[in-house]
Amino acid sequence: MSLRIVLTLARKDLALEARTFDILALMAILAVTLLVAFRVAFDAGSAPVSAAAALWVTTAFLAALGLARPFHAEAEAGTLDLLFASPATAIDLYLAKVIAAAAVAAFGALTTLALVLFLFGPDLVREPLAVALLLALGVVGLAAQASLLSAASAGARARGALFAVVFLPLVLPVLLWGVQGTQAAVDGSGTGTVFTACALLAAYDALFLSVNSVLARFVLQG
Amino acid sequence: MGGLALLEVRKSYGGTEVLRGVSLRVRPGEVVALLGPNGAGKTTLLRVAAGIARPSSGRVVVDGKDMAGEPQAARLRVGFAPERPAAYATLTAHENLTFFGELYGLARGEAASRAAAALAAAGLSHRSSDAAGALSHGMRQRLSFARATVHEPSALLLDEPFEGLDAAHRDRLVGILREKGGRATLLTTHMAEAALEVADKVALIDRGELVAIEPAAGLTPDGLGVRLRALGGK
Repeated sequence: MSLRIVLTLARKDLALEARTFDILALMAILAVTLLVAFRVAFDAGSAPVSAAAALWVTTAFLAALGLARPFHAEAEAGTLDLLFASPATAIDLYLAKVIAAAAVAAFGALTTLALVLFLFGPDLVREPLAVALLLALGVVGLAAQASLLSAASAGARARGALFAVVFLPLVLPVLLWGVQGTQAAVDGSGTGTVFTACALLAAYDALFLSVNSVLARFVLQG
Repeated sequence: MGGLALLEVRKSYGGTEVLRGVSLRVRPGEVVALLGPNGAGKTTLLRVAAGIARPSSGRVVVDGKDMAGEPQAARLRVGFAPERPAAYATLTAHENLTFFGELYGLARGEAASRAAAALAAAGLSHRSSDAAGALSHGMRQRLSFARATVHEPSALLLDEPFEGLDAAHRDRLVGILREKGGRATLLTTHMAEAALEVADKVALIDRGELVAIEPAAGLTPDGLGVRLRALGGK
């Protein structure tokens, strides 16, 4: 692995994401739609607790929408072959996509958080550090899975559908631990639950970043 | 071993053998044009030589670096332009080239200046700030050639480089390729005339096998055309 190559690739990917507003705009519209529906559906009295669920479910759906693209777009443009022909290794390509995907997922999470605060009240920021840490760890997990799946499905005809079908079940643990930790942080039911959720999310991130880096060698080859 | 060497290269997809023991040497400063009917294995051979596809057996060696044993070192020495010109549509022409220059190990400042020089050589200086997606097919073809050469590779692999170029830019590309330097160039084309203008040797491939490698000097476009039609009609 070469850090210089990873950062070069990631900088390019971030520039591409910043110039392609359509998916980011679509993510924002989906966030508004989902959260307004959640707010109407949930009882006002349960707002703090249901806000945690709304935050994580929406973040996961935004990730499913926004994170499929990295390798799919490279395959469609023909640039994937140029990357395969370059000195970048499969791990370099994978880690660079994780960085870019994490940035997109963070955009989704922050957009969702702002909307949740507006629609459900400010309880989520009662423990801002805990919520920020949980979201950061969750975003890395989502990006780690999305980047490998994007690579694995890039050659498939129904690549978008294939990505979504596999992605959401794979990130279910992120969703569950994120909701548990955030609920505990919001209702003050215990720092132990928050710590456990953070530890589980960190372990999930470490496990799948390592495993997926190895798998990338088999997935990313011509 | 300088230049590019393909040694007994075989490549199968599923049960179909697309390349059947191809051996080909392109020396530094030499241009070899690879011609053959559709489906003969030209593009697959270039993809294997570029390190994009792994050969089922055999070796690819670039400037003494084995593509299987030292893939990063070998790939650093190769420039590849695919048949369908590819670029990042929302990056400018200059940004595309600078990115690839950096990817091939150049410092950012050097990559930027080489990108500008490569764009000038390709006649694209006036469009360097335009998004690659806004360029015409012929311009993207020239951008693809500029990208393949921005890091000054030892071996240049060009898949149908004359496709989509108008006469003036075709002549310009022929001129650039004739300059050669110390670069080993392997290109595919179905244009017999262009192949003979630019190449030192012509290699004919049919059904995954090299059937002839001859000096271009003794060949004529018409004679080459007849032989190609004979291969395609088999």
